[in-house]
Amino acid sequence: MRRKHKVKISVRPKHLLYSLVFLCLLLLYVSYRYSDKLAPLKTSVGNLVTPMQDGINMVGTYITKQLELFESKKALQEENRLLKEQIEELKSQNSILIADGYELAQLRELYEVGKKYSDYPMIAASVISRDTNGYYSSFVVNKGFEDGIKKDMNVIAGNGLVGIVTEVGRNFCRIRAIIDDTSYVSGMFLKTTDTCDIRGDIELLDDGYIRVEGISLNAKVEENYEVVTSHISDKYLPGILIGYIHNIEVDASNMAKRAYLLPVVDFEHIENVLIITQLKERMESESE
Amino acid sequence: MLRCIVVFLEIIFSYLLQSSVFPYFELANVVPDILLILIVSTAFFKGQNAGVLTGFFAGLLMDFCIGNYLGIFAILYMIIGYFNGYAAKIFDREDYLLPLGLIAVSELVYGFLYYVFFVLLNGRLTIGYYFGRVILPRVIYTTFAAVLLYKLFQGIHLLLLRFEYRGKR
Repeated sequence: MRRKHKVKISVRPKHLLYSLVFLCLLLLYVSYRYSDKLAPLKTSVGNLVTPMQDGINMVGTYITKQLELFESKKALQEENRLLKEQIEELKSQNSILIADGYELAQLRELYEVGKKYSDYPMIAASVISRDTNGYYSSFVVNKGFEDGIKKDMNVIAGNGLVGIVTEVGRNFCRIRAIIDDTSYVSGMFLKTTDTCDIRGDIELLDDGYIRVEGISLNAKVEENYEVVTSHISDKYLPGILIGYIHNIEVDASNMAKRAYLLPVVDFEHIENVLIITQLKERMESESE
Repeated sequence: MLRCIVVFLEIIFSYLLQSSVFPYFELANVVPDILLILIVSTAFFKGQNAGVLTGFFAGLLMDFCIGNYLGIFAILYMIIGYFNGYAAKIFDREDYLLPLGLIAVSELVYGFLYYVFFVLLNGRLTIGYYFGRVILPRVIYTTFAAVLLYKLFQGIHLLLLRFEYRGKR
């Protein structure tokens, strides 16, 4: 009796594999063709998983905090010594920066960068999961369209650009970091208003840099110039600090310069981000 | 039936572990592939059909949660489940070396296929770099994670076997 039953449900593994691969190819085609219509489906799965991730994340944060407490006294003392040295250093730097601040205020007026991004309306969110494949730098935070998040909103942390919202669910959204291999941001040097293209590049990631391309040969840029998001970008709000430029060189084509950019955000240890809820206005909405 | 539910829960558990717990214990910027460990183990315990089905559902979950297009992870994982299913014929509960070897090789193959589908098609040709930067660390870390998790999955499997045996008597 048992054997009979077993024979009845047995399927050849090969056929099962073929049929499911066919199903997957079909799904691939459908999701490629009708990506908008599948979004609610993805969202519903996200809604199921996100609360669980949120919960685990709370536990994880708690554990890491406890672990940090156990960090040896010696390490802390050493850190304290270093920090004191740093304070002295920073004090001297601070006085220089105050002077720079005045200069900056003047320059802002000159270039009319417009509203500083601290004026933008923002929502705080915390990171609940990261992309698990080593190739891409995207992560999920615990705010979704219920909180007013929309696709293409800019995300900052501290005082620098983190990335952009690429997908929104009910209570979560996915953010693609600017260090991602596929990321592309149009940037501008604050001092000279020369534009450049900022591309994420996994090969530079370990050194903490991002690739900058397409700087005009005539641009008078120097090391450590600030790079902000430019006016011509269609998704990024203008004037958000991205980072500082390094290693400027003429690229292989001899038509433009390329360089490294040191982002101001520490992407290794992102926990909380701010999502700017103001979207960059599109051309068509302006022409009304 | 019970087994289906348990494996389904295991998939969710593995995904949560992979996406929310292990990022805290990141080594060399990679996270171990827990779902792959689960798929290889299940295929090793129960054969090709089980491997293919587990791979399908685990892959779909990945597709829904992190993929842009549905189906690609499912295909990768299914292929891995299918080929590991061949090893079910020599399943031995005392043998730990074979499953760990299978997991390492599967992760290597998975890493390579992933590179071909997602990175090569994106126009990046430096496979040597990607191999050292992502694939190899992932293989090593996954194998280490598998030392613990394989034991866990096997424990659950043996427990289920006992239940099923009792049910049939």
